[in-house]
Amino acid sequence: MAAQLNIGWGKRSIAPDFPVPVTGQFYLRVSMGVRTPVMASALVLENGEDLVVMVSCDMVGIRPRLLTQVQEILKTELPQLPVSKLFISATHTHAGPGGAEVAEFPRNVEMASNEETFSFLARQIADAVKEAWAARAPGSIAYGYGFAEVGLSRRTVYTDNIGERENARPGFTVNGNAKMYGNTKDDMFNCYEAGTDPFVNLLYTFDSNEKLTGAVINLPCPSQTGMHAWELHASFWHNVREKLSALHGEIGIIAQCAGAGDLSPMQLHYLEAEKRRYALKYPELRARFMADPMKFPVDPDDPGCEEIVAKRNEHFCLETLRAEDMGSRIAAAFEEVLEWASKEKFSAPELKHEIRTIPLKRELFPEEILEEEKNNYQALMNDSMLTEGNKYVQLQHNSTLQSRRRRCGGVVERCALQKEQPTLPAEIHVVKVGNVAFATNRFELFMDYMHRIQARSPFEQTFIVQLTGDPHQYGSYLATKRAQANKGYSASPYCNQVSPEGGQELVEETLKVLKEIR
Amino acid sequence: MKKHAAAFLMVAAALFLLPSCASTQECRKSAAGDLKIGWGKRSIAMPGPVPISGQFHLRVSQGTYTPVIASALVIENSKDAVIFVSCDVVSVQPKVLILVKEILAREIKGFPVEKLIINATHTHAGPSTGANVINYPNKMKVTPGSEVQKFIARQIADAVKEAWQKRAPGAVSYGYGFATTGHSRRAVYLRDMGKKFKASAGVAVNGHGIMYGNTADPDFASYEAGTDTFINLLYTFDSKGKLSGAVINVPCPSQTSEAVWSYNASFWHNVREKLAAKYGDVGVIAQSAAAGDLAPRQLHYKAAERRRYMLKYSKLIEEYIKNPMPRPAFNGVKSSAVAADSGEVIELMRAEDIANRIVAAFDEVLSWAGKEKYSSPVLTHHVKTVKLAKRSFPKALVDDEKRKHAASMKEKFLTEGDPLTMLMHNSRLQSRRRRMAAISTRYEQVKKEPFLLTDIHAVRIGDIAFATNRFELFLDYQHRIQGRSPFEQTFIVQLTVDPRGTGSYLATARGEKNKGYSATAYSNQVSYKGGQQLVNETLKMLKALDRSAVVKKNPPVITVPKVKGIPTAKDWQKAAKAGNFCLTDGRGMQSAPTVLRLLQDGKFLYIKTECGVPAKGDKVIPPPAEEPARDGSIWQFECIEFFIGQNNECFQFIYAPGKKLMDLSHSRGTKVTGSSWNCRDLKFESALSSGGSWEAFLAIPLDELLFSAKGKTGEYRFNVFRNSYYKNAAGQIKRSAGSYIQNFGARKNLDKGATLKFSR
Repeated sequence: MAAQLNIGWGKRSIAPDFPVPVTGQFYLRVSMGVRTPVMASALVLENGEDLVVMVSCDMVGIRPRLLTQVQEILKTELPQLPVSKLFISATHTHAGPGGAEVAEFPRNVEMASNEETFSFLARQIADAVKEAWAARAPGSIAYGYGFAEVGLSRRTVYTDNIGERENARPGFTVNGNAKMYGNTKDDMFNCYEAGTDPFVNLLYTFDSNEKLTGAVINLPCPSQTGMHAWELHASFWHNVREKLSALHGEIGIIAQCAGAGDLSPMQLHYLEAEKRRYALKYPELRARFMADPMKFPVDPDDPGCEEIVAKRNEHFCLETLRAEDMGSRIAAAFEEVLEWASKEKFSAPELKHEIRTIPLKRELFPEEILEEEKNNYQALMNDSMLTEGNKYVQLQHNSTLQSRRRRCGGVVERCALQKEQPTLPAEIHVVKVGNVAFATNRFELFMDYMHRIQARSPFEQTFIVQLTGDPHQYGSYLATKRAQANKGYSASPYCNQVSPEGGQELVEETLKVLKEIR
Repeated sequence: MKKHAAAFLMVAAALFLLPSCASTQECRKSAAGDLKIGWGKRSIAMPGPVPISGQFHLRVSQGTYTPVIASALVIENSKDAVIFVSCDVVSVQPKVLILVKEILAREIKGFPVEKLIINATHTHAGPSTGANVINYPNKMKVTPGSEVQKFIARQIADAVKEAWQKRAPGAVSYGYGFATTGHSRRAVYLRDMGKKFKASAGVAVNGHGIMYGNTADPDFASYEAGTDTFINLLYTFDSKGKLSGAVINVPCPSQTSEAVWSYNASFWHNVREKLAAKYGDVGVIAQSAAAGDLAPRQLHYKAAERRRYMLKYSKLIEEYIKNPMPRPAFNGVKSSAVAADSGEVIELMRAEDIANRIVAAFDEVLSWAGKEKYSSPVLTHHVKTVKLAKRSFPKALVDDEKRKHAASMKEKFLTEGDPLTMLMHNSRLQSRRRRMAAISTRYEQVKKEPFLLTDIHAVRIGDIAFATNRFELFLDYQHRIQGRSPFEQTFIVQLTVDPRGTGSYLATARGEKNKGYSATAYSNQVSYKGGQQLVNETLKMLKALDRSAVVKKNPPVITVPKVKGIPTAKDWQKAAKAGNFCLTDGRGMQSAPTVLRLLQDGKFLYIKTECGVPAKGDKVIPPPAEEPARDGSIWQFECIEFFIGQNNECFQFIYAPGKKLMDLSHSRGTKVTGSSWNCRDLKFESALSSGGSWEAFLAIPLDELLFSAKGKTGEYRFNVFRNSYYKNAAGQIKRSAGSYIQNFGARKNLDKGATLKFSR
């Protein structure tokens, strides 16, 4: 019998009152206000013998720099907390603050510096953790799984090599038989590469009076509806939080994305049916949105400006309704599982938290790619940055060019390193909470890897947490062998730092620890 | 501010927010269309020792655990019909279809037998529809297959007859939602597992893929094609708008209890019970979409699944244990005790769990899809025989199978002992031998006839379609069809009976490459190339049924001839024409005919409009006399709305009989917008005819169309709407909203409108 479990929840807004860079696309956006709250939520589970601090952030990713800054604050201000037991994951909303360090390139849109952005975010996250730590009190947990159909495959495979039909621009991707977000109306459309996964894993927490205090909700879908937005928003997790607080009052939510590198909340077929679904189901929401559409910059000199605005409004509206639809399904699964899972509450589950740094085989590039990318890089260096005209047009052009240069240059750099450093270090957290386990990784992990771990895991349920902050490096897509054969964005040299062999090493190492702590 | 203008803008704003206007929905709700709907059903639980198929070994019915039924739905209008039947059986053999057709042709005069679509839900615990010739030692009493076929055919025919007799005016709605039902059943491994997990000869050949493979294996790599959580729904309503039934289409065979010895409809029974509790006696057509590689079985999280059911359904389990399903007696002994966590219980709870999700999706979709009911959707049903490339195999494989078959011939049938054990052993051996022998036969046949002939039904109901096939179709094929289909939703119906033969698994290229049960020579009559032919042939049929039949998919470019001054009668003969209006949402043609004739002289655009009525005796209802001649609230009555625009700006002219006209500017190029704008020098006339129709003449001065950014000179986008509002001979008021080009979103959005070009 393990010791009594103490549970604490905390949260902070991570929406600053100054313009911050918004990342997640090749082009940089700068926040133009807050559409829905963006949060850092913290949960402490501790029993005197071991502990875990989970934090989820409405951000596209967690940079090593941010993790380190949070740890530094906590070391000073909460010295009793062993900071190694903290893991921070990103929900992968593409409309969160910061997310990446912005490189230098010509721009004249006012925004916070990297230093300001990261300091703000680190402060807020650390405060959420401190609140959760201070709020620790005896409680219990319950767990279960259900189904919420949220993420859908975003990799369409064709019977021919689409790369030969459509030239992807250097720095973006290399298409092959697959394409991300490809057209399913294409006569050569073959299949979705790996399908989808509707499982949602849930861990509920209760106070000593058995009142629900919060939950970890883990499902394989990045919260990237509205992924071109200029207003900060949390995508469907906001809708989930709103619905659950209406049902259960103020409860904490750790929003985790499971292995979903090849999934997204976007339907790639039945597009007209989807529009009709929302138009009929959410007419009031739609009207509300259209009366107060999202802000984004426009170029008034563009003759098609009004048309662009109308189209964008339609697009953002659709994505807003999609988030609502998904929020409804997640909340429904939450309720369904809670109803039966709460019959079994565990106030003293075993708690074990292991942290390992493991070497993963790099993606190795052949010589010809090195030469090609050197040429691509040089060509992009010859492309000019814009220094006049509309400042947002400049921002879009220059940041995109910068991203492409960085990605071509990245391949060149990795080619140079691959002989000396054939592996990359990666940190994983593996946590046992009674009969369920959590296993983290820093990647946008392709779903198959999750299935390999979950199926072979000795635990009843294994919550895979992707896009978890790693002190060694920022996460990238970790594609499978079948994906790499198909190529396309997310499975091209630009996107993959770790190879499919490295992916399997991640699986094996994770399973090794899971078996050790079982 | 002009009178009514504020009110108009509010109403217009509300209309523009929705893709189809509220008044149109109301209209559809109340309009009596020509659609007739009828439901019928019969039990197919034949008493006696009826064979149950679905496994390699034969089972014999020990009784009924849940009803197994044939449900029939007739949807018919004056032009075409479809009769859907779903049966709680593993497959419907061609012989049954032939018998059903014979009965119906005999007993219902003029019944369109070719419009009948019968699908199996694929429960593995329904009465077998096969011949089931027992040509091996057997001591069990088994009802002959031919008797079962006659019984089932009679019951299906009676269900159809009931549906046919009950058909009455009604309406349909449709939509899609999500329900997790099927999971991938093809586990793929990092290496070839053929040797590690060797399947019995005649059953399968494992490779990288294994059906229901162990996912806890260290070499487990992935699920081959994943799953699909979409659920397609078509609801039916009676003339009072009351729900009368639904077609429910999910990519999952209903094979939760697949090795039991009593009748069991799997999760469809639970669905029917739950819906009956909520909606009364509603009909349900239960269709499996493409799910050759899916099953209602989780291959990982098994312990978690068990726990889920133990906690969630503890009462149900308790009840079941007290009263378990009828089971056979092995060696004369029936096992009595059932463990709460036995496989049998898990399977039953799985059915309950899946049904809960289907019903939740059913309710969710109904809540919004029920807002749009269609009483006269386009109904078109095509049937075509297509040729699909058979799967061929190398000679070496045939030789190998011959050797294996010879070896199996040395395996002995049991000739004594427990009759049940004998039946299981002998029928299994016989199945394996049959499958091995079939390889040699098929090898020879493929050389002579490389194509398999099969029937496909393609049915259009409004904006959705159904496409059938006889196979256990792998999921990817469904996605190919649905992805490329011109319809909003495409219900794929697998395991539909085909008079030309029984269905088999139709695997994909990746399936064939990975091997495993369902993707080996034993299981596949048709190759993956034939699968693509099925996709392409189905799409050809769908495109032929496409809405382009009524909706102008590629908006036309209309060149307006030039005349000199006000057109003469002779000029009008050469005018450009815009007519053939569809309902605004493209779900059929507008019954009231409309024709616009267009001419121009470089200064004016001349429009002559002829607005007819649907039938003799109908009379349009013009705006009331008290409405002002200019800018009155006339859009609520019989009228035309003409939009002409450039670059997301447009001008709108609403005109009606009684010389009433409202003109609006949606252009930033004018100083005033909305109804405050008044087109100067406009010429307008309109008049009612004695026959109940009306005509109008409009001359729009082109100089008044002030757009903020000029497009190409003399080139505009346009669209025309007809708000048809009339009283029929019986005194009923009827309405419909039609348009020249199908309208998406705001009416003033001319993105998808037609193009108007002026000839010089």
